Amino acid sequence: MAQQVEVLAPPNMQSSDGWVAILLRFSREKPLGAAGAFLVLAMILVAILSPWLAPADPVRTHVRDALASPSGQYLLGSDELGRDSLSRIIYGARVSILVGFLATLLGTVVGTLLNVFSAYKGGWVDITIQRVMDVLLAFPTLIMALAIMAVLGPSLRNVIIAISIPFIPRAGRVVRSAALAVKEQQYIEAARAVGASQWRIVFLHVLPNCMAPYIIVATAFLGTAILVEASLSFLGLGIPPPTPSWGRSLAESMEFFNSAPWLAIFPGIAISLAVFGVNLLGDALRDVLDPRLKRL
Amino acid sequence: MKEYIVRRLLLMVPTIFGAVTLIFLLMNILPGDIAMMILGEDTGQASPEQVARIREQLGLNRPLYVQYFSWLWGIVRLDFGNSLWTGQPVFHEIWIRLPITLTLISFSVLISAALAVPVGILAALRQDSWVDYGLRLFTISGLSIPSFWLGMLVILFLLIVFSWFPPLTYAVIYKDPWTSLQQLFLPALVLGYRQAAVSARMMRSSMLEVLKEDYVRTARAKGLMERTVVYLHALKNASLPVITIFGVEMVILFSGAVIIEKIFNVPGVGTLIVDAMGRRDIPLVQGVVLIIVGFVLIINLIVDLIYSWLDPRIRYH
Repeated sequence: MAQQVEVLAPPNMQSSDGWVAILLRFSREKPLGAAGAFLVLAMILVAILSPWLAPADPVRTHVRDALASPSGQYLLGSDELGRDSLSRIIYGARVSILVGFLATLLGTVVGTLLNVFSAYKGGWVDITIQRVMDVLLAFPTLIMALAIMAVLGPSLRNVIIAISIPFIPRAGRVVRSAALAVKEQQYIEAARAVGASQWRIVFLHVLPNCMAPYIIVATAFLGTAILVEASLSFLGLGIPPPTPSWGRSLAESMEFFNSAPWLAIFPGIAISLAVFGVNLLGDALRDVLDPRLKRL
Repeated sequence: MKEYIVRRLLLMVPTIFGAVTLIFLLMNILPGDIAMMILGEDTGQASPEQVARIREQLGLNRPLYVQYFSWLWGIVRLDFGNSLWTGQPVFHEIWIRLPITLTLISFSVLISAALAVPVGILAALRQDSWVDYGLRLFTISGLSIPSFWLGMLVILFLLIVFSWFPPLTYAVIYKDPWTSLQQLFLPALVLGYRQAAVSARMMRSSMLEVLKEDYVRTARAKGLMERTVVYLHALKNASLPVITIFGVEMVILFSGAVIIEKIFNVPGVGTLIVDAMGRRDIPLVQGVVLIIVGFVLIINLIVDLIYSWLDPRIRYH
């Protein structure tokens, strides 16, 4: 296991080139990855700029225009309360981005810290933490998020917590094997020899050398987090209305399949494009950062 | 091998114990009062007497350790308490819905294997050709399109073109296998596509790796037909990691089933847990989560055993 993930700076990124040069090379060598990065960036921009991009107020109802088909006034139609569908999709990016990034960050950071510490300590601390992680792994992501939401009740903060908890053991497992490999390196021994404290070694020497697998896992989870958020909202257990969310828009559209099929199309395209972009980017990053992690 | 099985079974005991404890902690330690949730915290109309009655009914007024041991003792006797909504034993509610969910999941696994293995092999054999790129697009779409949306699109399409609706009642596999499989084909296909995507990617990279091995070159050098080399020599070793991922993916299928069942109106465990959440039927939610985790552990065990049977080196680690 220890030899499986050898963590070294990838050879083609070690040069002292500036960021621009690295980005250019990345987009030349990995066009699909660059397309993914573009999609992700576009989504972030849409989320930030939604008040300026959206043609209408996403929560303002116009009952007379309920279920209007796509037209000049409502580019993507309107929903059952006459709210502009396009504006709701644009604002929906905010929830997806916010939940996606924060849940991924929270889950992977907690999982990483816990496991790097555990791997570094070894002994019964390690064994105990690992057994708990094994138990957590037996809970399917969505099921666990659902159960947590049932207890915490719907709110933005709770959705983030509920999605991040299943990530803890999954992120931890990958970073752990990296940390185990790093732990055996000579520079760790050297640091110990000159009397560096445990925490200094963990934070300054072990953690930075686990970054490559961390970035790969975090990107993969970002896609999952967006999908789980959409699923929770779809099941009515996500962020409470009237905040626009792609998953809930889809759930609401199911009642109007016959009269307003477009309501079932566009939010789904938004989710798929977002996750598609994240996946393309993740694939390319994985190839660049660590070809040996291809099996994940 | 026998020793390995026994060891694996013994290791499962603390894991199950841990899972049971964790579910208890989740439901009882996390902030949020279950009694208030059941009464509807947002209405603010719950009187203290009502809250006290619900707490009494759920046994929430007892000390935590008493609740914990009674939950443990209940599980040993397969008594998970009663549903707050129907008043029926939780175990019974789950038991009658389990067959249809297991049929759906097994069917999805079969469909995904039937898709993933040929797609993965083809993509590996035609590496970096347009076939490979096309298949890659197919698999990465499978990972990106939410399965519930795909399910909705399938229903929407069939509704508009053929005026078809998902069936109102579903047949049970052991009573009417043919109807059951027919009815579950579409949900299983939607559910299986995502898994096929993951497994096909795995199959591809695993096959690529094996095809570079010395023994494959030897097989080719001694003049075997390419077909024999690929299907007899390479495929066998390339399948190993794919089997592991099938185990992992079975776990993910339980998540997927929850939402697909809801869309296609399949009266399985997934629909049960979602409805239980909507009605804040906490004992039922606890019970379903526990049963699902139990199945996940059993599946992991089976995958490990198959793996160690295929690759004897694992047993000695």
